[in-house]
Amino acid sequence: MIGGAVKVALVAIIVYRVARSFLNPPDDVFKKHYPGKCSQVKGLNFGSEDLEVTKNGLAFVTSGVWFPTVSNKFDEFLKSNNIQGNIFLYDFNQPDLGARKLKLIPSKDFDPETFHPHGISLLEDETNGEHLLYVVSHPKHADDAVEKFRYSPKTNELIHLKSFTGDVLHITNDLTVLEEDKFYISNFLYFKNPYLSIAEHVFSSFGFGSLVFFNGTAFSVVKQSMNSPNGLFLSKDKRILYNALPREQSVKAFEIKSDYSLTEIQSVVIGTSPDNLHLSNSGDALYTGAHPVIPKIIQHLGDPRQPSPSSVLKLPLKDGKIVPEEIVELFYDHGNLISGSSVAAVYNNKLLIGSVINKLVICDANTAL
Amino acid sequence: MLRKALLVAAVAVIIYKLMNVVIKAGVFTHYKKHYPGPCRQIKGLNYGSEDLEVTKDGLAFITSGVSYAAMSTGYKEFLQRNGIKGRIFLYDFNEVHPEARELQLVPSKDFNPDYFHPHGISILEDSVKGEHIIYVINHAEIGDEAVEKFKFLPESYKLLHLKSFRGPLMHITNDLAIIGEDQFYISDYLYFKDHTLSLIEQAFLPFGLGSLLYFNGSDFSVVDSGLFSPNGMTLSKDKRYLYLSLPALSTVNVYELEKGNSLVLIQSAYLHSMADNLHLSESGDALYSGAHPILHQLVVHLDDPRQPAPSSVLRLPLKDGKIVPEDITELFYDHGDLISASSCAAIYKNKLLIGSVINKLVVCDVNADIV
Repeated sequence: MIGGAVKVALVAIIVYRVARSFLNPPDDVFKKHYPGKCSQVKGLNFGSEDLEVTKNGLAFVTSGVWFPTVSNKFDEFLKSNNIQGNIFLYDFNQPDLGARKLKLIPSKDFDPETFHPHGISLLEDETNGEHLLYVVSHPKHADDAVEKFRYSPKTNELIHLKSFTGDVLHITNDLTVLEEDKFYISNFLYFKNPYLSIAEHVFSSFGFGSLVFFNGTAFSVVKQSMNSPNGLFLSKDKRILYNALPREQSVKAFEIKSDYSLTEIQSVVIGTSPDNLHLSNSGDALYTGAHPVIPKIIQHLGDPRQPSPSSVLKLPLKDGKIVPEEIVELFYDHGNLISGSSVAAVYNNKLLIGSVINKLVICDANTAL
Repeated sequence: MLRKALLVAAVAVIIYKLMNVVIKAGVFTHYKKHYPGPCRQIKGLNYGSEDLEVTKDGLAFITSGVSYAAMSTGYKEFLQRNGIKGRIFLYDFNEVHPEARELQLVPSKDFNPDYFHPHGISILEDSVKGEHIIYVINHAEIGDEAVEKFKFLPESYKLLHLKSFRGPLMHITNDLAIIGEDQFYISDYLYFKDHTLSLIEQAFLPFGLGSLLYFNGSDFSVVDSGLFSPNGMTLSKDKRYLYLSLPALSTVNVYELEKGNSLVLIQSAYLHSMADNLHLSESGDALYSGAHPILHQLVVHLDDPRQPAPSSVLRLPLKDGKIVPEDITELFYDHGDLISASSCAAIYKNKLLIGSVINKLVVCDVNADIV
């Protein structure tokens, strides 16, 4: 009787304390640090959730994210600030221009008013600069879709070409393009109903997420039962797919087979919640915007006026795999300069950092990034 | 029935308290490494650079080979196996390729270099001839704890021993801060010289046995007592404020110096990190500290210095004498491969020098934007 009671007490206390320590590191246990001078990019105030940078330094940035299960305060925040879904352009070679909104040219399949962009992936056109942009969108009162645009460098417009949607898409997050109209997409949440969503958040480790592949004509699930898979990016040779799972605080590497199925070759727990991933120019590392203090990001997503710390990590790669001992933190801010960092990229030794619903920051670096 | 419930409650409380200790020891914390620029280990110094001070003209005097009675057997064996002696090194920031140069210690009737185990250091600069007066805490292997006073001879790279200061109030001291010639504050860090009693003193006693001492030129006096392992010390540029680190509490105390050299505690800044020694920036606008981020790894390292312990350098900005906790930045974090158990740091002309308890000495390039 005592033995049983003692065991229960023991387990309860241990679980409670361990859980608390994982979930509640005191705010100041991490110290802030910057790679050099950092400043907020002018022209963008309400989110830069995902971005991708072309070989010649053009960053396409998604802004004004919304998806079906956001909190009421998040919704209010978007409404009261008149936040619309947009895509911004930041040119590393012309930093004085700041972030410029790109004009979205509608089509019969696409109404910019319903556009709520999330993840983005590019197919670069090195000849004419008419890059193809694929963007995950969560239109209200309709299914998630991937919108395909062509960038027109002369007019700074995005011309809508096509929409891709399917039953197998629930609440998606990011995508990565293998070749034209062939891409992987992450289903990070399942339920759109608010009550079921709450249950899903509590029990996310049971794996309601999945990875889906679009082969040009149809969607298919390539990985089931995942815990909120989020950011996606391919290796330089497009043979390995990297996926960030913030709920698990891990990044996974998958080998892409000839039939586009995935074999997990690595799963690294990194002790912080990585959101989106971006490959370095040379392909030798992944950069990620991460959420270091879980209660703070939960609070921030619940009410974007509450700050949440930001952290940028560099995950060096060797033979396609992440080298955990060499992981370096390039940036840590308590949330004053930028809250809720979700993505980072490096170009010409400058670091660009995006956030879920907050600022866009650019840093000079004194060390090699 | 009541007895069984009480038993369950008692077990729960004990487990709860133990878990608190485990968590405080940093078992569950994940820090990421980062460097302010390219860093390298300085050749010629392998066994400690526990404390250092940099003069206005860029000479860093570094104590090496620290040891005191309460250290563990494993630590003392490590020193013996490697033939580690107490030394003072010089690192000249002005040289093109600076290395660490051992200074020759000239003995006197009061001082035998063979029994020298230096700890904290503080300098009275001679800006005319460069014959700086160097005060060093010595845990003499034979004899009592003392503050040794040396004169630096720049022509011959020698330290001429001038005087020893001893007193019954000094138990195991740690660092000192010079107000004027032969006038200084000392941190009396540990009471017990026996290792086991010392562990109990540091880990389990609900009250502190350390104190802050003042030497006025002839006598020692206690300025503050009941402190938990007071460690590194330094003064502000105008000598109005005294900074004292208490790593056991992850805190730095700030005292205002009143007339008659009494002190008033004006701030107790909680850092969430165990800052060891403190060094004022050149302009006086910040303190740099070598810190120990993960306690359990430090404990293992001090028992067996071959085991790595992470290193962290913090910059504590100052405003009107006080530390500004929201603006604290971390300039350096290493898992222990480049340097283990950092204990001091200083910046001179865009270079960051980092010392450790019993490990390497490291220099990094830094940029004005981040310091």
